[in-house]
Amino acid sequence: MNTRIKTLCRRAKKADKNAACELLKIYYADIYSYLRRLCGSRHDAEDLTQETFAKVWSSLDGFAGRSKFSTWLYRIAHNTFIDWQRRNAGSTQSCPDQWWQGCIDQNPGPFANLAERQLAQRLHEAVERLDEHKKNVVYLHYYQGLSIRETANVLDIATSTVKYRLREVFKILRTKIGVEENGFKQRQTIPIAKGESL
Amino acid sequence: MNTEKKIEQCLRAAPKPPAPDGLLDKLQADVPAQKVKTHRSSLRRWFAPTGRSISPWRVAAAAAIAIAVLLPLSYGATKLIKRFITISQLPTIKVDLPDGGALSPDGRHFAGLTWDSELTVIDTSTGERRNLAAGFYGPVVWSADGSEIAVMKRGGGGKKPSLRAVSLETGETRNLMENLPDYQNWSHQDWSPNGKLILAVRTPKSGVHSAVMVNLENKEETVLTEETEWPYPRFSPNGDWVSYVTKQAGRSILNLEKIDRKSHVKYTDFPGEIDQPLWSPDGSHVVFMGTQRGINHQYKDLWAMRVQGSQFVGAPFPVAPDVEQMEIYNWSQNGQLAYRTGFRLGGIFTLPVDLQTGKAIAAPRRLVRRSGLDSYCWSPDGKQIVTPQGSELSFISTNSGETIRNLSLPEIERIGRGMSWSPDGKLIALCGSDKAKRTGIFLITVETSEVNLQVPLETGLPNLDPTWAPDSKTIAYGYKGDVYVVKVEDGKPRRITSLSEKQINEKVYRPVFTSDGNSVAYISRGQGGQERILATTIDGQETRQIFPSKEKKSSVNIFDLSPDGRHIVFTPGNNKIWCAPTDGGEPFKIGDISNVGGNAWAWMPKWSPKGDAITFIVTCEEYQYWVMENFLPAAEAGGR
Repeated sequence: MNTRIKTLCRRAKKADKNAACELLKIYYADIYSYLRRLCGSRHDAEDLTQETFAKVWSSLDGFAGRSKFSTWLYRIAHNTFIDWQRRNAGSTQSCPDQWWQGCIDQNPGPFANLAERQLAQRLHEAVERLDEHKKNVVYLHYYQGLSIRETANVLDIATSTVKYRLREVFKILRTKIGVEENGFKQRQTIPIAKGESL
Repeated sequence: MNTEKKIEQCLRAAPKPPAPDGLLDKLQADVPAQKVKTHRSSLRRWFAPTGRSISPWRVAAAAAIAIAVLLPLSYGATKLIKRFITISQLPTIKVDLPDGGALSPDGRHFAGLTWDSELTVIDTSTGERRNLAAGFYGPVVWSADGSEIAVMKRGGGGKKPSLRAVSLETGETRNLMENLPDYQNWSHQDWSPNGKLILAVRTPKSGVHSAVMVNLENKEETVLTEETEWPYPRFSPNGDWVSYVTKQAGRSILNLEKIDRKSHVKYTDFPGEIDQPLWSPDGSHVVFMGTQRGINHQYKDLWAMRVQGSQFVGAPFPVAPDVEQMEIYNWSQNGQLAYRTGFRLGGIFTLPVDLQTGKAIAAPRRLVRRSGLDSYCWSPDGKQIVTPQGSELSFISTNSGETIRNLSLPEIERIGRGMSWSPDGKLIALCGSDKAKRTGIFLITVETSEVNLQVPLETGLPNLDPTWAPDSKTIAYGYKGDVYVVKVEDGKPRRITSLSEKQINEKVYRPVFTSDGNSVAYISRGQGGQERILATTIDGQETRQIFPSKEKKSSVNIFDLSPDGRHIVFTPGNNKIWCAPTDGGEPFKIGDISNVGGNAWAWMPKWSPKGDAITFIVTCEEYQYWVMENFLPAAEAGGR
């Protein structure tokens, strides 16, 4: 674990409010964005972020530092979301908002050309349609940048399971965008049929 | 860059939802000021009760407990866990069976219907394939002893569809039921173990599905329930009970009803949708696909419900997660649950053509990538095509393939095959049903999205193929084997095809207005499935044959006329697109989509209003066949 984070944790355990606020500043945006993706609504994500950090402060003393602080934090966030989902079974929205659609259009960033923007959008749509297990590994490993081991720790599963799910995700995403690829190839390879009789 | 890297790069570069302003302040305000209370772990408290160093005696005691108690326990537990779920693909099935399939009771054969409507049987261990007979459709249902397979036989030659039992041994067929309604109105679902009863779903009109039980001896029909959604009726393994799904106040209800109708129990507490219930071979459980309310709609699990005597026992419990892509077939008596997984991909392609010759002048390119397409049409100016997506119409640029706008149609529940945009650009005619369960031809005002039911019609599957006359005043459509025209101003339909013009039992459908507006061209399917394109004047007085020019057996399936009326384009239902002059010339192939995929087929060609392009739908399906075993807890006494 990063020495600075370690020091901040130690100080926060001793009720150093400044250290706790420092930790907050470092992590709150990541935790919010993860929860926002999970729950699909801005207001719920805000509430869940607050709930997550409330749990962090009340159980900080139990954090032994065996894993990274961020992994521990994500795990609390993940469990907080699971609890929230159980509490709200029957009333949660079945179709989360697709905040990233606007984001991609407004901010070309890495999606410089239209084709890539469309591909990115389709991939994001496809990820949203994955089942919860697969979606979670994509969120943590790719969107939040956690390593395979950290993702496994957060989700409380084996690293081999994470790898397996990522392989499955790629299989699905490849199939989903494969038709488009075929379309491009086909443009070059389909011959114009000539005068064959029926 | 390969596809995998491209996907990975896109995922890693995904934007993050930005944290809202003020959230940090809120979180900082929540940080507790006082020192968090320290506590020791329970393990530490046990090993060091005084709070100082770890007691060696306690460590020794813990080791003794672990050896004496925990190890034997874990050994016992391992012995108890004897049952493992086995999920295995049926690699021997190398053919797509899009129209249904089922595993034989002994699990040794898998029967299914191919794209060519052939009933094929595959040996699940060797992969050896045998075609039993052709011309079938609908579900595939085995007899309880595995000697016969019940399938629907197409009508034709003066006969209506029938339900046949095909012998596994010889391929010979015998009639189970005759004079059945068309496939969209009647579908058999199960065959009782004693071979005397058939369970079916009757669909008299769109959005109405009746679960019926038919006695094969006296043909007496008992209606078990009438629902707005598919009821999935199935016999229990001993044939005394029937299970089916009903809906009440938005809740899915699992029903068990005795076949003599003297006993009926319901399970009403499942918090979500119940689909495809199926009995376990020993009758101890009913499994079903369940979508829990509140969870993403696509998040489906396989659930099981215990059944004992005439009662459900306890609550449903999940047995296999994430089964949203599964289509369950059947559960063989040897304990294998057979199912299919797969994708349906496709889109709309455009093929530039020379209007004068009808020949393609470039290769086809994909315009829209979407699956499950049933309908679309060109705008009169040729700049857009419109296609339904859910309860919306999407307007797509024919240049770029981008969606220009969406038009919401909240009243429309279902859109059937065929739609047409009036040449004056004001109205779109489509067929379907609305939320008030009215079926027929609807007119959509393009500007305002106002919806009007122009022609109410009673039909199970609203595939009416409406088409506008060039003056935008008349619509033609196909209905129950005839072609009708209706003037928009009076809304009174008039049949233009008549028995005197047709051979008896010949069916006509898929009309297209000719460019002069005086006639309607349509497909006529005669005895033996031979198809012709005829054109009848809108007063119904004259009929002429457009295609084929010579009397030979041909398959048209679906066609369109060029704007100048000099050519037809048609797709016989495979990977080829054909064109033929209407003056009697020979047909010629203008497109081939075999490169899209082995199972890709093209259909619904439409000529652009200017005549410079032909669009068509491509569908490509890929399936895998699997069996799942041992996923239920050990069966308890009391099975049916």
